[in-house]
Amino acid sequence: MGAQDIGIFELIIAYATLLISIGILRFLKINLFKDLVTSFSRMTIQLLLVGLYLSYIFKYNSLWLNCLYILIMMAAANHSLLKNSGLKLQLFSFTFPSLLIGIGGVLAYFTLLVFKPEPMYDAKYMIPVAGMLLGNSMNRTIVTLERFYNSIKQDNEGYVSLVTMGGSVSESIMPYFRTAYKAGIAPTLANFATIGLVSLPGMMTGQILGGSTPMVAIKYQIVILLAIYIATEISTILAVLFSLKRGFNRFGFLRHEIFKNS
Amino acid sequence: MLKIEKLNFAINGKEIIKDISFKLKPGEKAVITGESGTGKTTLFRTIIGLHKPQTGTIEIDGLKIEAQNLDKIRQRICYIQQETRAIPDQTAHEFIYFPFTFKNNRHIKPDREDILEYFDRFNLKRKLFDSQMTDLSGGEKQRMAIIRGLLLKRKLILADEISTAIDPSNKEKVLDEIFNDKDLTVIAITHDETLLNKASTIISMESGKIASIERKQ
Repeated sequence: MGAQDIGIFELIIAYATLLISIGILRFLKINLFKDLVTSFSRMTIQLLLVGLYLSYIFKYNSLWLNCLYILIMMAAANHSLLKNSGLKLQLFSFTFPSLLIGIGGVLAYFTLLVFKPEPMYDAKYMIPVAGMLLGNSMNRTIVTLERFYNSIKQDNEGYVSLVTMGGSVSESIMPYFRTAYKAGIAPTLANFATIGLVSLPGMMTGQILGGSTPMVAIKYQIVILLAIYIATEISTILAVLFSLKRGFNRFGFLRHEIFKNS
Repeated sequence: MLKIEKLNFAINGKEIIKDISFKLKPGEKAVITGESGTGKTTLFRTIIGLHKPQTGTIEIDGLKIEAQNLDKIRQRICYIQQETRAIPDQTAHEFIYFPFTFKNNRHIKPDREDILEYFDRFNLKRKLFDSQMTDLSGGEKQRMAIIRGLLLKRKLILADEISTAIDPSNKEKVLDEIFNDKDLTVIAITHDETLLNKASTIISMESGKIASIERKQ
């Protein structure tokens, strides 16, 4: 049993709720109408395109096609995470492996040992799970990388004193990394603590609408949350670790040219 | 101990350091004076490797400032800055001990009593050892940074305006601790008369150049 289809007319009714926001914007004289239309248009077009090519990917259900699609998703996420953390794209090849290892490793672990779909590379499992892991990893890595490099940039004199006192890069960055790590993990932990109480995750809602029993949906959700947590943990730490080679020079000092606005 | 030869450094084509050469013998106590913007701090930053000179060489204890000599050089120098920076939520003892957790410094980890003896000599209350760095005054923080620098037992101290935050009643004690140590080579940027009187060598800088080097008898 799948979820009941939504017709064009019903979609239009759903979009009509945006009129409330448009009315509020006009009343408050906030000039965001164009941004609102652009955002929702982009969201609609992107999701329609995803729906279109996902239907092909599910139809062909090939291991190589699935892997290729996940690699493209990772490249897009890596591009976005650098852009949003204020760093130059020249770090792309340094942070990309962090997603490859973090997402790829966790996806393989959970697919092979927990979900056990038939076939193992079933696109219906691989693609949506990879998407959830990637989205969450990207968000946490953005916060962590941004906080990490900016805190060193802002306290450059403090960092320089640690390096000149004989600290290696990995030793001297540690206080800044700890702060950045805490900033990155805080939203994840806050979100996890309120799941079920404040929010019902999208995947669980989708499964219930798709006909799964609540207990099956919950078990999947717990597993997914664990997968998300460990994937974000691995990819975030590796992103910082791998970026150090480009982020610091041979003398251990921060390269200011890595910042987008340098 | 420190040998600088024909050093030139420019940023975006603007010459900051122009053809600087001088030597310091082991145990020598030198001060660099000159108006703001004459390149004194840039010279220090070049010595620690933060700036790469266009031409010229810097040698510390016979070792050129190059990446392959980095560990050896950093085991010989200590750079104390004008403003003492501490990591948020760091206590004074964490501030002092942190560099001794580095692989390069683990062999010299001082014990609590060594540190507290310095506190006594620098007129710092012992109870400050467990205080948050953010609760300390500028002068107290600066004295903590100097204690940390001395405990590292380096041969060469680069001190950038270290006396500005210290109140006059404590300044003499702190500077004596540094300037009376015969084994320690010191090069200090300053405008402070107290330091100028204690130094054995006065290097004056003007517009990125050395205007004069005066060695007291």
